[in-house]
Amino acid sequence: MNTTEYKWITPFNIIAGIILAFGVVATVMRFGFGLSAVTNLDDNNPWGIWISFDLLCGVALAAGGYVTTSAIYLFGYKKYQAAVRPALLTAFLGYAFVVVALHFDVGRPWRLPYPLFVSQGPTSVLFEIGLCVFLYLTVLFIEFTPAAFEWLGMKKARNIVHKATIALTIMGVVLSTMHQSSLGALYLIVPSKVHPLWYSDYLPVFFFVSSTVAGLSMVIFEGSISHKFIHEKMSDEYLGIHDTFVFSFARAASFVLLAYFVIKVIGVAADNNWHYLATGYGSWFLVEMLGFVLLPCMLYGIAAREKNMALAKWTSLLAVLGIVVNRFNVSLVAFNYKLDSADRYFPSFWEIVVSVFVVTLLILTFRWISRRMAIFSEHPDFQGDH
Amino acid sequence: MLRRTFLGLLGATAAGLAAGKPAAAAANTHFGGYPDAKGVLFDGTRCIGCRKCEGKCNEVNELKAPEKPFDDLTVLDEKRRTNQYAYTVVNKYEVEGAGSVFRKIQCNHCMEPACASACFVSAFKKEPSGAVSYNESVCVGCRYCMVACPFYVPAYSYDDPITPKVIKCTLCDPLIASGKRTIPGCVEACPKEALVYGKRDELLKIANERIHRNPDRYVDHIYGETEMGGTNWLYLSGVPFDEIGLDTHLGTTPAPKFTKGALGAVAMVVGIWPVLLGGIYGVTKVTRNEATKARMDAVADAIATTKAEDAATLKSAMDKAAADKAATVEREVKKALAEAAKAQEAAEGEEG
Amino acid sequence: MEYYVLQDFLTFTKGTVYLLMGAGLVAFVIWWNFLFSREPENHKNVK
Repeated sequence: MNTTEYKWITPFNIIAGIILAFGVVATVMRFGFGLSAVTNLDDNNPWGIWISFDLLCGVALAAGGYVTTSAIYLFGYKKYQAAVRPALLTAFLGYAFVVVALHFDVGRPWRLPYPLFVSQGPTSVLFEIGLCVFLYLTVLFIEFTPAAFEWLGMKKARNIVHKATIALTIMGVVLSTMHQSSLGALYLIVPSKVHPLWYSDYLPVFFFVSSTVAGLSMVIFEGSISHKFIHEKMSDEYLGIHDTFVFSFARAASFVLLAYFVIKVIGVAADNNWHYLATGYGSWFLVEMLGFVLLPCMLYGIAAREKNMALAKWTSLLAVLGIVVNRFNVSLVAFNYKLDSADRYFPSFWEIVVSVFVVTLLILTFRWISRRMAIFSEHPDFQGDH
Repeated sequence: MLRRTFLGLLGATAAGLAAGKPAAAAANTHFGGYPDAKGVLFDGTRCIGCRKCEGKCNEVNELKAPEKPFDDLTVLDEKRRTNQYAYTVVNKYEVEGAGSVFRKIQCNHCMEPACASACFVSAFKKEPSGAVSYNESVCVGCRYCMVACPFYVPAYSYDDPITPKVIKCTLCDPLIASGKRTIPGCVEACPKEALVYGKRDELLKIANERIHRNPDRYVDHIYGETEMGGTNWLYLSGVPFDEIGLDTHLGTTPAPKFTKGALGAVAMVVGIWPVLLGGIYGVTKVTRNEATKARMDAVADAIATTKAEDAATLKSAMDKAAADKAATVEREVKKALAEAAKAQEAAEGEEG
Repeated sequence: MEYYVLQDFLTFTKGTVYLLMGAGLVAFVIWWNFLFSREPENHKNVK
């Protein structure tokens, strides 16, 4: 533990404090007076940014967990072992706070266990997502427990979980494949409401493939942020592999982005949607495809080849933004495209407050945990035991 | 309530199996809907936009009375949709050559409801009566049904913090089932017989007959016959349907089919991914093991070679040292002997 | 049980499929352990 006295009055803490205060107000309004008190949701637009950002982007950006564990445990990148825990913690907290955010969005949050335990709706894509997120959150929790057990000094429990690593990793990839793709499949049921350029039979595949990009990019991005702020907690081992690790992931992300670009073009061709490219929606589609898919693909490639760390990090931010743009496009911009502009949705101030509030809670929890448990380092009692 | 859920269906099927009946239909079976399902036929050429159906609906379903009374027809000047206080609304459309045309909208009670397909707690169900029912007691309020509905029908009570719920037309099914009514309120209230309640099959016959008898009066299409796999609420119109706010690009595919393929793929992921990933893990492990073994062999080799070299060096050094030592000893002995001989010679000389 | 509505049919079949998916995942773990249970220790777990 840090022996120097902790400084409470920092710019970060002040901003976080203000956000938390606003968040508490929004929470009281939401649960005291209903959804209409804080949201711009209406009967035509039942899903706003709490779904688009908190759920769709939240889950995609938490893909770092399965991407990193599968790369290290299944695909043979053992040497990057030190990167597992930060990725797992980010993923676990990501999913946990997706669930927190859902409590704001659904009408009766105390019924969230209903689809699993009370009345199953197996034909619903959302049922599949609910089941997978519930199971995957459990898997992530178990995968993360060794860090907590080490912190608490519970050797036996830690070693039992440790033995199940491979099974848990495979389970994690299976569940992630299922629900990452199903988030895209949510919109399959409304071909009449989603603009043809974003609607495709391949939506689940698009969402899954782009989720791996989101996962790879978030690991790079989150690593560079942590590098700056939690540097003193990082082991030499973590710092030693960090650079080559970033370039490996950048190269992987670049290659996957190319694949994503190719299948997106195939999607346009499969439904013969070329003529829409000449419309206003088409221009925006091209911006997404060229600026947020092809450009990060190129930049990642250059960064990995030239070993340009700064470029790799900035590109990770661009790629993450690209995923956010894509999820917003499918769920908000392209959704309800036939309605008059007066009937379209735009988030309210308080909706944005709640989304920012949830992200802030996530960051604060991440900071709290990574300063106490062995996340960016190995616990002294378990060195070399992978 | 149990029969609504999957587990309930499972139980029912088990019972069916026990009774020796065929258990379930094959994948290529056509599902024609319940044979006695009822519905309503709306004839747009007869509707005069009096809003009496709206008023009656409000009354029989005990909804909150609106600010403007139902005989205030200025309400028709703006486009409205169903909401938490209105299961049904009538809209006015100005159509070139036909003047003001009215169209009633409410839940169309799809034969294959998108809301039911989308609901993750099976709160919606297609009833044998023809109605699509909603079970508030399990509803979580995710509002995916509202996203899924191609007709923009379900509404939500967003201003209710404790018991918000989805709101839509019930086809007066609970009231009819309990004997309080015989036909839906809106149908009863219509002064122009623009609404007919009956079995869907018969409504289709009536509609076809009307088109057949007055081909000039009607567009040759029954909206709802095939749209989204068919609906129990059917529409006739004298003007193109898209001019009275009905989406004519919905296609004929029933909603559950849109997600059937993706959900099927999910099951294949569960079946195949563990084998694929286990295989990849196995391959990388074998490769790593071989690499490790090769490295260890190389190290062992190197150590053995070094040891042998060391031994050889040591031996030669020892030999050399031994040789040196022997030579020195010999030299010293010779020297000593020579000295001794000298001394003896000298001694002998002194004596002699 | 006879089905008139595709939705009800799918509710039943998809529900069954979900149960089988769970059973399949359990089976994979058990069988994997069986397959490797007689392999020498160093083959099972090399770091």
